[in-house]
Amino acid sequence: MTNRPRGVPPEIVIDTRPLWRILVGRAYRPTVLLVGLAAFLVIRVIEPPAGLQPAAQKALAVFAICLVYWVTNALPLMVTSLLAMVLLPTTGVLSAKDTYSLFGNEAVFFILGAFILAASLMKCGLSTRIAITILRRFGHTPRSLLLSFFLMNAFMAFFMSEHAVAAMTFPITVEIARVLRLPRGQSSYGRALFLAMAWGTQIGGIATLLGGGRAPLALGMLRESTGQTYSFGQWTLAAWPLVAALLVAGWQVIIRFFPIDIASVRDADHVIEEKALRMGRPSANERAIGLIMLGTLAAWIIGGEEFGLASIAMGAVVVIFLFGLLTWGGVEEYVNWGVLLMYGGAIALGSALNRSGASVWIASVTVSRWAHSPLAVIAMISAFGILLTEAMSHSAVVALLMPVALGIAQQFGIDPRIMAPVVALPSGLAFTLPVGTPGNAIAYSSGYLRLRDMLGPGFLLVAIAWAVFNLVVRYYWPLIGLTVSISAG
Amino acid sequence: MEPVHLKLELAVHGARLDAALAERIGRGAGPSPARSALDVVLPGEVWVGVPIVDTPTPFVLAAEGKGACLLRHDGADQASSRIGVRVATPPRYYQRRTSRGTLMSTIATVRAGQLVISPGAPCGYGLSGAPCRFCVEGARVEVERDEASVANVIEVVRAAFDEGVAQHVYFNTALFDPEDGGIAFLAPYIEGVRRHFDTLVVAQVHPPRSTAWVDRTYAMGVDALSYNLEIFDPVLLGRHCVGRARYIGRERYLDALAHAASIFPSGTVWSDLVMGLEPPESTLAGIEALTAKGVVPVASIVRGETPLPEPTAIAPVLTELYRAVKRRGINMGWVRDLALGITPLEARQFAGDGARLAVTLQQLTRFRLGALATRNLSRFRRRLRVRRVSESFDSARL
Repeated sequence: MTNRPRGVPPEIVIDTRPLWRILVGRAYRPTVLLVGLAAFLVIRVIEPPAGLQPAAQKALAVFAICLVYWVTNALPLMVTSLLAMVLLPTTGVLSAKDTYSLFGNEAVFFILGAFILAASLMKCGLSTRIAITILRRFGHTPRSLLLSFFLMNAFMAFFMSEHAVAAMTFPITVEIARVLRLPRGQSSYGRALFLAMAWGTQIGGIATLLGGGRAPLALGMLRESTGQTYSFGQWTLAAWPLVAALLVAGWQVIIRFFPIDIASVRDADHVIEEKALRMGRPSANERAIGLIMLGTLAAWIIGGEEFGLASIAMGAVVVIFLFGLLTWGGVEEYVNWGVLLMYGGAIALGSALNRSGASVWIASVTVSRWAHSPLAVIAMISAFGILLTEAMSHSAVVALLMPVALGIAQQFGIDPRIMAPVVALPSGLAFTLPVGTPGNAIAYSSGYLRLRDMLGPGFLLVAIAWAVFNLVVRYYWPLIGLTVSISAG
Repeated sequence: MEPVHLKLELAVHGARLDAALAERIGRGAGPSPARSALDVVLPGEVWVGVPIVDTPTPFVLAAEGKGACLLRHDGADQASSRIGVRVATPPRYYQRRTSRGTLMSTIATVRAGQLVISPGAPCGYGLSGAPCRFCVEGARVEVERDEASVANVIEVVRAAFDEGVAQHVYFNTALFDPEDGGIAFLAPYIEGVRRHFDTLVVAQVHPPRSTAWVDRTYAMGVDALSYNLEIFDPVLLGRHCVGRARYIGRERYLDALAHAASIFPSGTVWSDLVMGLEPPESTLAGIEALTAKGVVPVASIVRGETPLPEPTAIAPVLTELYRAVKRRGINMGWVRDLALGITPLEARQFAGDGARLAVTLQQLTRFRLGALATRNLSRFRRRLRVRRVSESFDSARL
C-alpha cells in the first residue's frame, strides 16, 4: 500500500473560501509591490519640499520602496536589501564603489563570525551539553525545572543567536512536555514551558552582541555614519539592567498567568538523565571549542576596541579550522547567508540616508513635530521599535529606524552613539505575536500555546520592557557614561 | 423524436449494422477493442454507445454517401424515418505499437471523444472475483495484465491527439486500495500527461479512506472526478455490486463524493446510477442524495446482458435528474459526451426545458477557444485553491 503518491506533495490544503476572497488575498503581494514602486517613483518626480536636497530626495525614494517591502515582507528581507544596493548607485545617491564597499562593513563580518562560532558550538554538541547540564543540575521540581529552563534559554542566547537557541531547545521542550503527558491546549505548565523558551531566548538575546544581528547591524550603521562604536563589554554593560529586570518580570508574568498545575517532573528527570548518559564525557572537540569560545569572549572584552570585534571573531574561526574542529560543509548548514546580504544592504542604505541628509529631513517631519525633549524622543523611538518588531523582523526594524534615529539625534543634539542601543534593544523584544520572531513561531507551532496565551501576558511584558528601558536610559546609562545630550558646545 | 429519447431507444434495442457501413468502419475484420457497442453521434452532439445486435430491432445503421444514417423501421419493410448520424470509426493508432512493442489499443481507447486510459487491469473487482453483475468489462477480467509504463501512456496519448480523435484524457484504475482508492497508482500517469499535454484530465477511481486523498487528487491535476456508486439502495448494492459493497461500502462513496464536490469546481464530480437495477424510487432517492451534496448524478445505461426497462418507465427518473441538478444550481455543462450514460443536461428534453443558457455554454466549450478557456480557467482555479502546508509555514516566517 502506498501512503504517498509519487510526484505529489505530501501535505496539501485546499482553500475552499470563495474564489473572490482568495483572489483578494493573492492580490496583496502584487499590490504591495506596486505601492512600493509607486512610492519610489512619486518621491523621485515630485518637487522636493523645502530643506530636502536632490540627493536626499533620491535616497528617500530608495528608502521608501525598501520601507514598504521590509514592513510588508513582499520580498524577502535580503532581496529588498539587494534592491537597495542596486538602486543606490543607479539613482546616483552613492557611487557603485561606495555602495559595495559598505557591504564590507565590520558588522557584517562580525555577524558572520558569530554565526560560524555558533555553528561550531551546535555541531560539536557543546550547546546541547550546556543545556542538558543546566536542566540536570537545577530542574528537579516543576518550579525549578521551569525556572532553569527559562534562564538556560536566556543564558544560551548570550552566546548564540536567539533563533538558533530556540531551534536547539525546542526538541528538548517537546520531549519534556511529552514525557510529562502535558495535554496540548490545556496544560498550563505546557504553556509556561514553551513561553519560557520563547521569552527566555529573546531576553537573553539582547544581552550581548552575539544574541542576534540587531546590535551588530545598529553598530555598523552607527560606525558608517559617525565613526563611533561600542566594545563588547560596553554593550553588555548598557544592556544588563534591562535583561535582569526582564528576566524577573518575565518569570513573574509566566507563573502568574500560567500557574504550575503538575506535582512532579520525575519523568522529565529521566529524559534529561538519559540524554546526559547518551552524551557521555565531553569530547576533545567540545573541550577545544569551549576553550576557543572562552578565549574569544575574553578577547572581545579585553581587546575588542583595539583589534575590532570582527577581527577577533574571524580569528577565532580561523583557529577552529586550523585545528580541524569544523568543516566548511558544517558551517554552510548553519550560517544564514541571506541575513548577511540583508545587513550589507541595510548598512549601505542607512549610510546613504545620513550622507545625503535625508535622515535629518525625515526626523524633522516626523518625531521632531511631536517630541520636544531628548527623553521624549527616546521614549518615542523605543515605543516605535518595540511595536514594529511585533510584526516585523527585528533586523528590518533596526534597518528602518536607525537612519531616522541618527537624523533625530542630529536635530535634538542627542549623542548619536546612544541611538544604537535605543533602537537595537527594544527592537529585540517581541513578546506577543507568533510572527514577531522565529522563537515565538517555533513555540506557537508546538500546539500548546494559543494566540490569546501570548497576547495578554506578552503585551504586559512589552509594556514593562518599554517602561524599564526608559528608566534605564534615564537613570542608569548616565552612570556608565551614556549621556542623552551632547555636552553643551 | 428528441435525440435523447432516441439515445435511450438505441440503448434499449440496439441496432443492426448494414454490410457497407460494417466494411467501411472495419467491424468484423478482426478484433476490435469496442466490439460490443458502436459510438454514434446523434443530432445535437448526443453520443450513444449503440449495441450492435443480430436480433430484431427497429434500428439499422447504414452507410450514406461518405457518412452514415440511422434508419428506423416500425414493423413494415420501408424505413419510417431516417436520421443523419456520425459513426465513430476506430482510430488509426489502434493498429500501432508503442516503442516497446505494446499494441496502443490495449493502453487507451477512444470513447465519445475521450481517451480512456487504463494503465493497469480495467477492473479490480473482477480480478478479486467480485465484479458488478451487470458489468461486461469486470466479468471478462481474468488475469492481471502488466502495467503500462508512463512513457508508453504518453506515447499513446500523443498518437491519439496527433490524430485528433480525442480532446480529454480519462483515467481509470483497477485498484481499489483501501487507503487511496487507486489514485496513488494513477498519480505518475496523471503527472506525466499534465507535463506533456495541455488537456483536461478526468479520473474515475474509488473513494479513498481519507479525504486528504481527495484533496491530493485535485492538487495533482485531475479536473473532473467520478466515484461511481452505481446503485443507491444499500441492499441491492450488495447484491449487484459485490466488490463495491464488500471492499468500500456505500457510506464511503457518499462521504468522498460530498468532500470532492466541496473541492472540485461545480459540476465536475459525478456518480453513475444504473437505470433499472433498483426501483425508480430508490434511484430518485439517490438523485436527491447526490445533488444535495453537490454531486452530478448520471443515469447509466450500461447494462450488460440485462435489458433496460422501456423508456416510458424511466422517463420520470430522467425528468427528475434534470430538475434536481437545476434546483441545486449545479453546473450541468461539464459532464457531457457520455456514450453509456444520460447526463442531466441531456435529460432536459424529458423535462421539456430548453436550458438554452446551459446548452449554449456547453456548446462554446466545444470550440477551440472555448476549450482553451476552460482548460486555463481550470488551471487558474487550481493555482488559487491548492496550498501546500509548507507555504503556510513560509507565511508564518518559520
